[in-house]
Amino acid sequence: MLDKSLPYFDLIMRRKTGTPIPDVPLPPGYTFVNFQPGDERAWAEVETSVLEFDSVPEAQDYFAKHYLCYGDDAQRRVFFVQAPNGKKIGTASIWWEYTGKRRVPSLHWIGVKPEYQGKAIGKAMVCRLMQETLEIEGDIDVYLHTQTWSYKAIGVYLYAGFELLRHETFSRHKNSFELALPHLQTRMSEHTLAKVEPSE
Amino acid sequence: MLIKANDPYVDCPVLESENFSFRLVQDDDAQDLLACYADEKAVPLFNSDNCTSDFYYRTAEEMQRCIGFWVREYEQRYYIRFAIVDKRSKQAIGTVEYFAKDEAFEDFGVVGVLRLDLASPYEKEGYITEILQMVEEKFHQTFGTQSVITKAIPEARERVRALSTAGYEPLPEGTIVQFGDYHVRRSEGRLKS
Repeated sequence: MLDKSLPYFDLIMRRKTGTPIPDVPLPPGYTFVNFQPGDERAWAEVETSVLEFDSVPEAQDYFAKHYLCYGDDAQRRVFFVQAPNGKKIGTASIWWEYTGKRRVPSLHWIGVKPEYQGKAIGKAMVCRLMQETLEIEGDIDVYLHTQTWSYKAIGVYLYAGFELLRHETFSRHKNSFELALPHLQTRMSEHTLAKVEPSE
Repeated sequence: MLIKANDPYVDCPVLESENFSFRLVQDDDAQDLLACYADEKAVPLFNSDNCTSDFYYRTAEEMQRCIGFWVREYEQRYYIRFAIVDKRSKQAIGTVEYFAKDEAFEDFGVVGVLRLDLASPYEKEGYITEILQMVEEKFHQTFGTQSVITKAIPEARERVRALSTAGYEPLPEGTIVQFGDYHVRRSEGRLKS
């Protein structure tokens, strides 16, 4: 869930080619499944529960406009974690953006419903998503945009092999690393934050 | 025949993308490339239209003979067969062939013909898109082309996706070439699309 008590600053992370991906199993009974037509509402419910949208219809509308228009890519690139009761409780996507004319793989919309957080589901989901990314894209650099509000997720991304970039960015995203760092330091351990791209 | 100040048939360029380098294929590539050309999953996706081989090789000697043929064809200025070298492993993982057709075509200008042979672990949308972007950025200037055509059979799903992502469109059968399953991309800003 987003922690909006922190000031908002944009951050960019990158998993470099060749970085090992940890194998983290989901808790027993939980499964990793592909998006299927009709799952739009499940996606919207997860993303609304973590405060990315104000309402489920708004989230559903956003998903339709930005993801469903790409043929079967949503089925190939959007995933859910399904609980033992069959409910979809987490979602993660491997999509793409453009830096100039260069197409860049990028993680989008990672979220786990608040009542299921604290079970290492997010960690397992992101690691599995990265394995899927290697299958789809090959072992190439993968980026993501995040922000200070998602410092808990940043810890997961660092674990999964991403690094915080000091200056570089991708697509049209801002990178406010220097402004964000003091706020991250109030919430994250020095050990976790050690995985920052080396200074230039 | 292509005559340019920087003639690639005189001085074959070495080109680069993020994860790959591209240079004229050479004898030493035989062992690496055998992994690609003996790959039963990969070979059915290759384009052998107008070729004298099915490109399925089982021995290093067969591969070496093929490389020798490609080098002789380069010396005769028919096409350039580049080895695709993975920058991390330093191994040749496939080849790209490119040449400019002698005649220009209405709506397409001078057309380059691209063949892309990849070992099956590299038959991924991201890798193929990266290679196609390199083709778009570097080959038109190198070869004096304005459009590029390449073949992708429907079973080559990753390739078909990557072609679509990179702005290629299906080419009606009988246009430019008499074979089916070709895709075309017109160079941006140079011809109507």
